[in-house]
Amino acid sequence: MKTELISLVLVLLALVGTPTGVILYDNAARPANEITLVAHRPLDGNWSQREIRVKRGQTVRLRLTSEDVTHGFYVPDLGIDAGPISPGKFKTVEFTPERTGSFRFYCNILCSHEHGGMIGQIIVE
Amino acid sequence: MNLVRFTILILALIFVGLIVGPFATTDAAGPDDTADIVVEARQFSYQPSIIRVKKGQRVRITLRAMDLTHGLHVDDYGQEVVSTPGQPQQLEFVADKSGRFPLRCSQTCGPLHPFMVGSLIVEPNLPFGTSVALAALLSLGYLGFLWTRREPPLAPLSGGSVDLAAPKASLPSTLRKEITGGVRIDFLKLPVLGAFLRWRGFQFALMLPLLFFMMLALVAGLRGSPVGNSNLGIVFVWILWWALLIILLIPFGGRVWCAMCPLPGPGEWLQRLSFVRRREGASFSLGKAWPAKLRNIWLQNGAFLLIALFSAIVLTTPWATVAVLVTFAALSLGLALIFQGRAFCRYVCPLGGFIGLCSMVAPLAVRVKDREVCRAHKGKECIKGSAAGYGCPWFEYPGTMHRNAYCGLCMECVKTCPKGNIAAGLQPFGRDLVVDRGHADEAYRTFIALGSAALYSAVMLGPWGWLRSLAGNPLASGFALYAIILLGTCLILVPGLFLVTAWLARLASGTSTVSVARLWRNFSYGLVPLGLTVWIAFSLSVVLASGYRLIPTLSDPLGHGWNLFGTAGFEGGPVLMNLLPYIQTTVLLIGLVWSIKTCWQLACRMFIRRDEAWRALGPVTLFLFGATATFLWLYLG
Repeated sequence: MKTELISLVLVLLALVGTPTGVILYDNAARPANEITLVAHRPLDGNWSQREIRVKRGQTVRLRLTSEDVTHGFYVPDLGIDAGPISPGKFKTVEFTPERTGSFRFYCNILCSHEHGGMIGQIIVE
Repeated sequence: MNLVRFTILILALIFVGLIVGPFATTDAAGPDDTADIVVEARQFSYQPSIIRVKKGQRVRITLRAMDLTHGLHVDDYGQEVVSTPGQPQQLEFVADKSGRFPLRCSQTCGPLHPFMVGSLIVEPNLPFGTSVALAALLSLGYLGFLWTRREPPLAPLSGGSVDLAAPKASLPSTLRKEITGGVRIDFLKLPVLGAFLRWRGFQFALMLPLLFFMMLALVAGLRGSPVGNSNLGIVFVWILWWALLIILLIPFGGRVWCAMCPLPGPGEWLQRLSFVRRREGASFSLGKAWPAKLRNIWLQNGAFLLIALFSAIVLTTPWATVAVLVTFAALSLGLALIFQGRAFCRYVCPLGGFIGLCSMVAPLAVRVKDREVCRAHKGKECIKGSAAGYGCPWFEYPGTMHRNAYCGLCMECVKTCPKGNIAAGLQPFGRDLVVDRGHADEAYRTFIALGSAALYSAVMLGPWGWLRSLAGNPLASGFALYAIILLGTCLILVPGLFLVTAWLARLASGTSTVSVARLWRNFSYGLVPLGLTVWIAFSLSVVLASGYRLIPTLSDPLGHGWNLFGTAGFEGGPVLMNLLPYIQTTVLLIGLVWSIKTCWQLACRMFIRRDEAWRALGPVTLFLFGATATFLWLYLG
């Protein structure tokens, strides 16, 4: 019976342990001061966050990625242009906002006919 | 003639072609001559998708992205350009190599991006011309070689499986040897491997790690990035596993995958209420017998076609891959709870049908050592089971089993046989294909394998954007047309052409002793080697083009920006693309010659006289050459 018991534990480990472990790690792997911004074409969900709230004087790390086609990330008022963001790849942008207000961000790589609607704003409080 | 010598011969001929080739071109253009081409790129095709230039010409490609950012990478030339809409970009190089070079989109532009391919054909297309000429030469040469083998005049030729109904004493001595000694090298006699195969935990030990990997693929597919080539689910299943299966496991191990596949695990463990140990009496299953009318592989054929229809989506979309895996797992569990044994694996699993077909090529086999021992022994523990193991879950009787087709290599009979009469080892390649009585369902499986390979190659590797857009969107009306094309090719065109071939073979043979239907059924087994090599050629181009994705996705399985092993940032690309056409040609030509050889052996079993068999082989060889040339055209033309 010992063989059977060990086997049962191993099977449960594979069936239940694998997904649980992956999901737990996935949740733990995201630091607090980091914001992940996922780009989709406007008809497929647009930016994952249309509004990003940050505090003045605090450094923000933005992790940019895309889940469909190549996009851009452009905040003219903060002088940020991340360049092309390819699907499945990550780009990190760091900035420390010095003044309060709201700043628009755009996709600056033509991604679809609705490209012009790919807008969001960063609100500095 | 043996395969190794043939491989060397083919390689030598290709080598000669490569050396002679450049001198043979007389109409090559001068360097001042420039081909100016404007290419429009849309999801997921180029317009024009086929660019023809002359060798030596200067090529200037202006890439105009029309809908979103696209790239264009010329394989082998290593040239690349990226364009965003409204900003055309130019690429200039000298076409100094002849042949066909895929143009690939280098900017992920959506789900079917990996298949966004065009063709640059630098004429004269020597690799293609040479390979077709080689195929013709080899076909004729082999036919000529067999012509010298018409003596002695009476068939059959040795080297195949044997009709078991025939009494042993009346068989010639060469055949008798094959009945008793089919397996040459018996792994059960080896020290470590033999003990492993006899161990009760054998199958569990194979399944457990794969169960872990399958769960990893599932969770990645569900929770990870929808970008196919950044998701471990897609990369594991459709690049790593598929390539290993087609290129390595099937040609050498036959159904060995079926011994380790984790999908039927839960069902089988419930049927047995045990993982490893043999437990008698208890079972969590209704244990019904599989319906007699479904004891064939028509269900598998249908299921294979169903998956084939949606392959363009399944191969690129993580959730679709998850859906397919979960459906298989649920079906295998459900059927295990109702029926006995591996009913799902043997009669339903679409992949099981395909692997079973190709496993007849493989040398790895489980067979009895001496059939006389089984005939005299009344216990039949291999069917009923004993204290040492379970009765065959694949509904086979090892005592008369003479083909790999439906043996799942689970090694239960090795444990149950009280006479130690089972051998598990190696037999000659392709031995099981030489059948005496073919079956229509198995013949159709071969036609489906050939037809779907042609369609897959056209959709995923070919420059035909219109076909790709038909296949890529099941919700659009064009999908019905794609379904008609796919089903028509697999169910009508290929079997129909082969029926004409069988009719011609009968005509050519000059005798009416063998019916057209029998020729059609039996000769279909001769197509299997070519069918397998066609799939190898197709899978090679997939794994060489996208195999590098395994390295970054191992570190970042969900595409969430992890970096487990520090390889997440790995920037690779297609490898060995310059050699791919030559590898594919070699593989296909081996398949061609092997198929002709198998058809000759099949013919010798059907016809009474060898000269009749040889004449019947003519039309069949023509069909095989035609099929090979078609695939050469798909890959190089």
